[in-house]
Amino acid sequence: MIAGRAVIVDLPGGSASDPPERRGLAALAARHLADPAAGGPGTLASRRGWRTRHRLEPDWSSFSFWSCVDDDIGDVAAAFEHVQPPGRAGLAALVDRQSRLANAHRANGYLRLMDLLDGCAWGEQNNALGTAATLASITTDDLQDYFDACQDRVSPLASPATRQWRGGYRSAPQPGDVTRVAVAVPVTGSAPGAVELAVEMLGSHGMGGRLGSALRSDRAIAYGLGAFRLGSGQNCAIAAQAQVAPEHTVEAGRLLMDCVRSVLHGPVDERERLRAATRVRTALLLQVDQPFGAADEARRKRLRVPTLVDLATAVQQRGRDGVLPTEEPGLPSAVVALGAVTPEQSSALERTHT
Amino acid sequence: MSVHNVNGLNVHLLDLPGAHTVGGVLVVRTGSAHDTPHPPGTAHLVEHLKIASIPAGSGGLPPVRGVTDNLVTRFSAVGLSEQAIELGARLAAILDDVAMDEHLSSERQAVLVEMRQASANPLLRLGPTVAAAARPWRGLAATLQADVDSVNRITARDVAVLAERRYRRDQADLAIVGSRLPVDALLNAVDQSAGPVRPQAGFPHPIAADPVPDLADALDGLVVASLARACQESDHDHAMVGALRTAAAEIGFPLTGQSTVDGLDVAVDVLCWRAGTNADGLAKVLMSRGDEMLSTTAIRRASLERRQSAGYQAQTPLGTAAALVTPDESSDRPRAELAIWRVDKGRLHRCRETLLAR
Repeated sequence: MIAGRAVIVDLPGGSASDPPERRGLAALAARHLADPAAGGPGTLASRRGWRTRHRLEPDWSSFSFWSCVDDDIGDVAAAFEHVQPPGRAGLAALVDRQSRLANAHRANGYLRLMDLLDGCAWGEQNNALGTAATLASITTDDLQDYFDACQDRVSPLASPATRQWRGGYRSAPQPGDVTRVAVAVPVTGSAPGAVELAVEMLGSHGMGGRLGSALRSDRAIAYGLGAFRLGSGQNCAIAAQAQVAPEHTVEAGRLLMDCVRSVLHGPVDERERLRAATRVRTALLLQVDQPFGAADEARRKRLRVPTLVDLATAVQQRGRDGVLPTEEPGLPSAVVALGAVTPEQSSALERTHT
Repeated sequence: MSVHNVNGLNVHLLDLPGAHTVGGVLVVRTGSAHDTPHPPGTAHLVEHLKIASIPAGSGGLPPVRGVTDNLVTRFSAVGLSEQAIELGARLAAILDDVAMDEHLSSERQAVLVEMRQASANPLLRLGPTVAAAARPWRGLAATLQADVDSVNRITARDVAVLAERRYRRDQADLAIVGSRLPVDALLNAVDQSAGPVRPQAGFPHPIAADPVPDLADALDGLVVASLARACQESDHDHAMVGALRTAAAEIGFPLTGQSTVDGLDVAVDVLCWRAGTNADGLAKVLMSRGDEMLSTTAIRRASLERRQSAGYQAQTPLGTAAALVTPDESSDRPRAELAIWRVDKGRLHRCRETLLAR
């Protein structure tokens, strides 16, 4: 095995630090830092052939670098010091590239579905990339201010506000002859690892859980499907999505909701639980085995959040004790459909969420 | 790394100290180019059915994933490091003769929904279409030949015949990578699961269906570059692809998409840009470059990038397993050929081709 080294540099300006009228600022700053032609860390990474990764989180703008050759990757943090913002033409090029990415994001069916579900669940949509209007208002001075603010801070510039669950039903048109359907049920009182276990009992990759049995093996109406956690911390929901032919939209919505509630309301067989726990542990430890895995675990310790190894242990315990999340009483679920949805289908799906 | 011949099946094992997980890849040397005489889509449907027919087992291994390419079908799986034996047995069982009829209806529908999803994005068809135009009769567009009608015509007998003829020990490679692999017990489990040992048989070359289908009008205005090369990419090939990207970016055209299509003794890198009314200008820039873009510095940098990329992939058990079952470098490397294309009215038009220096 070739030994590799990974370095993570966290800037304290995440997407939550964007002023409302300049949404997309942190993403634009990250784009500049990663630009191979900008003379900063992106240039260094390009020259060294490093593998790179960037994650824009609400709290942090996190840059990762990986190398398997004997080079100066350990000194990459220095490249973030005294970064100069681009000139006017450079800024225009950055804005153009970010706008293209935002457009591609809006054209991606899966990402659109996630935006639709997020908006339905909490009444607002994640807009870390900004809009044409907010990007146009960003100046080189704004970027300079952002870099200056990040320079001497060790804690986030801003943290995201707590969001209030709304739920309900939403749909949006999407070209093509596949309809995407998703549901989300808000949950409460979760022990560590319980949400992850519930998601995997449904099937995070579709097959292997209850979703695959219900929508594919029994009814043969779905190709892509899967369960996932919507939201973070205690403010979260168990969600599931599927891609189906338009005529199966309503049935898919109903089956997804039935599956999610069947796990939350039980009963759950111990054997099924233990098998799901093993699959979750595999998925978590697979991330630890990734090239950035060890550095990510060290970062989690620094941020005082559970490591994936700790979470894997908790999931194993949930598999044994059977503690699962419960549906938040009194809150409506969220149901969304993306595609050619008829008024009759919308009416039927609206009834699904109550 | 050790390679074991398990009654005709090549099993590659590698110990990766400290890994929390075990990764396995089974490559079966059959793909869409082997569909004939069955309807197009048969190999893809067999891939689905093989996965659906795998016994659930008792240990909670995640589902096996499959991809049907032009010439091969790849199955991959992961598990906890203590599940190496179960994982090896599960992948090897794909080669066994098992009844698949009960899943035929559901998996046929799954293939049809998957095809619908792909047809909704015409860009996905561009890579194989251009690759087949650049190097005809090499099976490069075999994955595009299936349609709703052909998939609906596939019978249980088509499935059974293709599976029996092509899912054989001597037509497959299995790689398992993890920490402290129990070699003897693992090989024994693989042997027990991999189905009957059949006498060696010769296989004809795949019949690669052409001609290339038309493209969607939505792709009009695209400028496309194809680099037909040996299956294993060289530093020179990698540098060429990088130089094309850079040349287009320098005049304001970021890459729209890039893919690599594998065929019989050839691989084709396909890059495309949305140029709209500026398609002529971009095509001219790309045509006027070629070998001149390949400086010593560019090739040295490409070499470094490839080394980093290979090292990165080899960090995980699954990535390493995939690399172990990649075909070896051919000693007879053909010269790479660069061609520039434009898409107009749903048709491909070749602007120019250039044989590149080695």
